[in-house]
Amino acid sequence: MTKVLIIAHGHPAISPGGAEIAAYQMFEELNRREGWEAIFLARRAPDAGIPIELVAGDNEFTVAAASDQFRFHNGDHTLLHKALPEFLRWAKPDVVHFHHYVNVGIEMVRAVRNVLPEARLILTLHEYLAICNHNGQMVRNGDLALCRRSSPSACNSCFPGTSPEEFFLRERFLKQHFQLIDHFISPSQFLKQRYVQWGLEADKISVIENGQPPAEPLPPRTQAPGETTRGRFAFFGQINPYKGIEVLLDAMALLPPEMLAPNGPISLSIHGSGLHWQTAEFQASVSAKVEKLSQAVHLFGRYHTEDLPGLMAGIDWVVVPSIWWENAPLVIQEAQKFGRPLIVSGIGGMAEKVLNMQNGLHVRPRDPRGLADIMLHAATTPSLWANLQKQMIPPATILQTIDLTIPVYAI
Amino acid sequence: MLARLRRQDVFDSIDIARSSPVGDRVGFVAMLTLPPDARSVELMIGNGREQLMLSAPLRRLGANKADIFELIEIARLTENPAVFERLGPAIDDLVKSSPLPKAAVQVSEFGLSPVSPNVSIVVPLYGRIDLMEYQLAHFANDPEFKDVELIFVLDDPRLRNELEQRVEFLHALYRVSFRLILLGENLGYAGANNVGVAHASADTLLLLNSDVFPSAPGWLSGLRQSLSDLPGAGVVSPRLLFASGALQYGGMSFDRSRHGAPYILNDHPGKGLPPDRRTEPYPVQAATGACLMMPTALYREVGGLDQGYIVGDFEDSDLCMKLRSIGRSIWCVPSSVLYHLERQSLASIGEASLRQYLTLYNAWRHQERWAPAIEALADQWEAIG
Repeated sequence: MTKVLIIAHGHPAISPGGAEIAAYQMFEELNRREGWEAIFLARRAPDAGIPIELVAGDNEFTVAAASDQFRFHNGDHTLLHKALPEFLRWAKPDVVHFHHYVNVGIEMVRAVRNVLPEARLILTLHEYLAICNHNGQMVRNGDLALCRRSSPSACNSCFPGTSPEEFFLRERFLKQHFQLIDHFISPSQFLKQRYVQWGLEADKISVIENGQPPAEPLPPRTQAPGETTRGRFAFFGQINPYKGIEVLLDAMALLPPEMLAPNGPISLSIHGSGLHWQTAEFQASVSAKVEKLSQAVHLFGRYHTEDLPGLMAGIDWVVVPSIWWENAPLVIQEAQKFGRPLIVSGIGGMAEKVLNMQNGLHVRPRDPRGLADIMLHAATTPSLWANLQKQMIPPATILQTIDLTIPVYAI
Repeated sequence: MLARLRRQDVFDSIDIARSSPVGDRVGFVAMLTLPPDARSVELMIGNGREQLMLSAPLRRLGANKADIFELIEIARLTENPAVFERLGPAIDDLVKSSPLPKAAVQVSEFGLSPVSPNVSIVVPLYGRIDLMEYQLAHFANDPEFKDVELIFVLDDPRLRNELEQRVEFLHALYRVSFRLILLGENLGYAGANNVGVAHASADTLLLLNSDVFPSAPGWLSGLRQSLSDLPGAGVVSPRLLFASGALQYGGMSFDRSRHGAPYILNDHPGKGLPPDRRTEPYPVQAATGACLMMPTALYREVGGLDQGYIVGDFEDSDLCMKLRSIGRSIWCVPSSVLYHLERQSLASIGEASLRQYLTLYNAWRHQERWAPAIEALADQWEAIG
């Protein structure tokens, strides 16, 4: 029996992000496998409760933890030197798989290593967080231009209030803790390359996608009598400046008016939440752009995973116009699962997961004119849609992900 | 008289001052030799037509930081870097006239130091203590630290509470044993190191600044090997890099050209450039105190670092000159590489121009002691090329 402790930065019941869901699915699936046992420890915000607490069954726990957002430092003596060691001595895991360190605190890696010198420590890398202080996105602070490489002086030019030396210390501090990790998992080749460029050893990083629950592809959207076009576009995900929603709205505005619904075939559905968390300026800008196109653009708000088949059934294309590199976006996997061709920014994790002219189309990021041209071409060339749709490759399943992860646990 | 100073208050309130040809520079600094029991001085001031008799009370200065800094401030007001030719001896006498500051010392042990360590590392902490945390994160990943006696000296009583709240956590997390010495007052770089070395038990000593971080394990054994292999070596020092990877230190040279400064300064040749390709140890004129290794007995033999320099400057080259005077050589070992985030801990001391005059005073004092030896050394190095 091999025991795996999975540590996640949130519980999907409270914070249903892609990484939290992936961690929880691993936990559930491992427990179904013979010879394997998993324990789940999810971070919760510090509260009056005890530091580590059972929340479900006999193997699902939360840990009250907080870190700063610069170097992910957690200096909680009681947690790291008392509650966590006590928990680990009870749990006795052979493998500890960290799904993140944000909010959990990077020191947790060393605290685990102190108590379990023989355990195998695994860390799944999500964004470029250790590399980049700008939410781990590798876009420049201010103009959001794409960044290709961090350095103390480059980071200081992004954040003039923080000296190059502080950035140097941040990097060294994180790397000293990363040294305690036996193996890393990266959901994309692109993310792996960025971490290798940053200084991690290539053979210590395995590229394994976060698997998805399997589903049957949907049939093509039923076209109206006489309709030959494929002009229903959709956006899924968080609405924030990095997801490129403004680029997409600007592209819609550049299309010939006669091509837009209700008179023309092209419309855009936006499914996503989070707009109200953004700056007033961003909210006003998005709202004004939607308002101008109110006949052709519809803002639907938050959706749940179980709504997806219904939402995807009524559209032709999924657009992912992000202006940052992305890693392995869940929305791409979902579109591929349900058989909806993608139009994505041709950079980073998006360009890796969607192959141009094979199962989707690439567009230059932050290029509304280019995106408008591609959308028009995509909508009015039905054979293109059909060809791409035929070549859709379903994403890895959770079972496949576990099959690939188990050897990493056992090396 | 050493210099005239601006005194707007005098200019505004005394009639004859307003007719003075020197304008508002009616203040002045003068050096007088007085009998030891003098209580006051009487000054006769005149402008050629009128004269004024002034009586000025005398205040005896002490060898405390406030009084010494007051003299440095007066030196700064003269706007004359060469002022220390005259004022320097008075400051030096003042420092010498009273015993060295004796700070209350409190020693705590965190973990068990090795019974027979092969090196004692002394790290003074000043200004910010999070650097200690970053150092421990590095040392914890270096297997050579199991044979190290690590001694942190807190030379900044203001940070005592903060450190005491953090230190148990840091020791429990990083599991590096160390001794922590808390000083009751700020002794400066030399004083803090001297106290730390007094608590060192290994035969080999490493002085390390808190803003120096190893690039990779192996640097320590590399330095130890060089210290034992190189004939007559008094000090070995590593290569130090800036955060950018540019050279911060690869040996110090004495700069006689002075570039307008009236005294010999310490120069870091190649600073800011990519490091050169040398891999074997090479002799240098002097080593930086940011990271230097030497036999502990030798440190004690030459009396350690000279506490007569103010704040922290020139003690390292002074130490090297003392070692040279007893026939020892100074080396840089470029295969041992560390990063030095220069002056991250000193940013909090005074304004730039006051610091500049502190440096000038220290440079003057250093030159007073070593000018002939440095000239001879520099001639010899120039001859070798």
